Amino acid sequence: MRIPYNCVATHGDILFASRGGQIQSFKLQGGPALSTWSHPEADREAAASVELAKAGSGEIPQAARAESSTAEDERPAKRQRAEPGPEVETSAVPQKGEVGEKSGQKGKGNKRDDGAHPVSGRNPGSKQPDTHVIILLQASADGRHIIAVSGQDKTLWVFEHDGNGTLKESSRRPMPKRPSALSISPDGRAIVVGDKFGDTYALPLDAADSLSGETTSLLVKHHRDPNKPTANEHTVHSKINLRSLEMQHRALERREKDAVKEEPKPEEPAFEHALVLGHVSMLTGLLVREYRGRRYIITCDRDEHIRVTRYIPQNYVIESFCLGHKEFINSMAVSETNPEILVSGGGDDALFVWDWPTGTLLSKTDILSHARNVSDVQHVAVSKIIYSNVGIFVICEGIPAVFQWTLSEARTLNNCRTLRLPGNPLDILVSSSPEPSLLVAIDSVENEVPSSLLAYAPADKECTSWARSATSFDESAIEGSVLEVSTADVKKLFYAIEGLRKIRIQEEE
Amino acid sequence: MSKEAYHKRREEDGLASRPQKRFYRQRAHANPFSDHELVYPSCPNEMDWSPYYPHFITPGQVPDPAKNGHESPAGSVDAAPPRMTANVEILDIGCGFGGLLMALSPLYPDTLMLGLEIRSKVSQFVRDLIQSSRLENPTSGAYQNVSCLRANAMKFLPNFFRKAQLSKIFICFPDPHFKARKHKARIVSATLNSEYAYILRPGGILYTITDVEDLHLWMVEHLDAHPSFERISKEEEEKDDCVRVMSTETEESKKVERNKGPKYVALFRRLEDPAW
Repeated sequence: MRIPYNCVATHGDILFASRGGQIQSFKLQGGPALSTWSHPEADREAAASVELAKAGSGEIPQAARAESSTAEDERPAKRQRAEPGPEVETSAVPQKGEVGEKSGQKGKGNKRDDGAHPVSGRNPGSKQPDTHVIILLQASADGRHIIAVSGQDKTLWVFEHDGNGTLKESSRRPMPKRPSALSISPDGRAIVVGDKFGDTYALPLDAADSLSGETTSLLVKHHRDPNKPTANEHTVHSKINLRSLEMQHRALERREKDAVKEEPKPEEPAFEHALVLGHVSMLTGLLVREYRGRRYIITCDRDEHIRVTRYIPQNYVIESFCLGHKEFINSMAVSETNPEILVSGGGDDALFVWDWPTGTLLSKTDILSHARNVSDVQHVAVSKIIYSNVGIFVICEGIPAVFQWTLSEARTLNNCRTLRLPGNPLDILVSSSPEPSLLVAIDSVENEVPSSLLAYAPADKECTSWARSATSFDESAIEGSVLEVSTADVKKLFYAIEGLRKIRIQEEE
Repeated sequence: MSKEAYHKRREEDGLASRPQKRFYRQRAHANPFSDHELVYPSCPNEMDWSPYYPHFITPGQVPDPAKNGHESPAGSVDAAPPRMTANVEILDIGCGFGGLLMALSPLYPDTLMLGLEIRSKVSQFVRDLIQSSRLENPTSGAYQNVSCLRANAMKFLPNFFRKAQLSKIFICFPDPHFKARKHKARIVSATLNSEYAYILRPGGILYTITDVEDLHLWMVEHLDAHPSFERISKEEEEKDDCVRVMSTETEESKKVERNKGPKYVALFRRLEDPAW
């Protein structure tokens, strides 16, 4: 099956939707396709997968494999680890938009495995072909730029948008760690991007622009003599540590004698990037907002924290925390009309409404019971919250519905309405121009539905109920090949949010 | 005696005897990034300090479930924890076996101080030590102002402490994490310093001490570079009682003394936030 659309963004009456490593643009009215951009490596990959799907079974041609790995000149692909055991460690935490290996498993028949993926071809250290999937997609407020993140190569892409759906690559910046959340500053000059290690950077949107002087980078270059071990006889005491210290000294002496110069490793990217803040947890959401003339960065993480930090250059001052979640947070949205109101959700059974500048919890609203009317589930994992002027829209991982609320005078979420979908939503968007519409990217593989991109139009004046609109997007007009994936691939690629939940295991002491 | 037998007997004896360290040993390192089996409040208002500082519970209060700050409007019906007459103001991050806390306790008898330790057995030792010390001094109220709990200070400080709640933070002989790729696990880092600044009040002091020169330089570089902190001069440092205590009373400082190793001290003052 062709990989479904998983990210949507709009500007005016142009819709951008990403599918694998491709970004396609459509006209919202009527749905004709306008243009396609393809990740350079993704194209080759997709072509190979299509060939493979045609052949029905077998390995990916060796040539295609070698080619795609040597093309990775910017940054070597991360080596795939062997399937992690039941023990929990940070690296075993499924990442948002985690990209598993793909073609290696293709056509091997056994696709009915639940979680227990075949380990064959996953020898530790053996290089797997990568799936270049766009995991984040956003349009700047003026619509002149589109920002995308491809997951496997951790790259941040900035495109110029000509206003008619055509994207021109203006910069590509491989980040140190996989970005997991991003936002564009209100003035459109900076991209603030957080990664799975919790570090958050400010980058000039225009790579030729500079924010130095406007940001306070917290990054400190630690100076230490590489020819001197950090430990000494005073700081290590055990026999084994003393022995390894002695060996370090000997190795250094040898190197000195042979005059071997250690090559400095290129640790930091060459482009301008200021470290503005960091969580000691995976960053799952990031917003840049203005309130009473002051700008803030709002960040949330897998450890139940929502943090409010002053915007650059005072990005080292934390203003407040919004604390109360008991499970991971995955999405946040701020109202345009009530700019102090924030709605957050994730692994908890409820959505939380906050007065974010003060960190005050205003109300909690159950979402699990509504989800249970749709699917038989024990938990919810909120995948996206949209706060539009017609209401608050929420989707949850694996639940084929959109839930809609309105904010009451008492700052609670009222009148939940459920819009059932033909498949699981991967992303949603509410567009107000030219007329209100609700756009949903559907997992067409898991649910075996023909189209992955659906448009809904309001069925009443208040936009409280919605019906499929006459618009149907011309999905076949994509230029180049579309990546062929199995249900198992789709599970790995697009169902990682529930995996953020902590497994509280008994520890060995 | 086995560990189990020891702990059983202590329980039966009512924890009056001083705990013996050898029954609480645990490997020196813990991964701060993994999901430990931790108990922590979801916000400071939810933290119940009464079991930790029973002498500081506000007398004669009737629990009022309606007054629960964060949780009040449509939230849970949990009763608010008992109100306290004082808040924790001194924090020892990575308190180990509690030497610093025990030495500081008589210096500031009316100030609540807390040690955080990620290793469960070690934090249990400190709690047992405090308990037996309290029992040894039943009338004087000594050691009523110290306590310890198990926590991951890199992740959950804002769950325990409000903005500007603390006057002193101690970071004594932290894990040096020698390998460069482990540097992110160091307790002083560019991004974590913002969190220390958040819970520390302007004018408050962050104390650091280590026997590893490279780590000392690392901590100084990172705190110097952070706009919320300024280094305190050596003269002022020498006048501070706490510096003497942390240089002589912690387990590690005694060990360094025995090995005739060096000690590197650096103090930083929390500055006012700039106008905005």
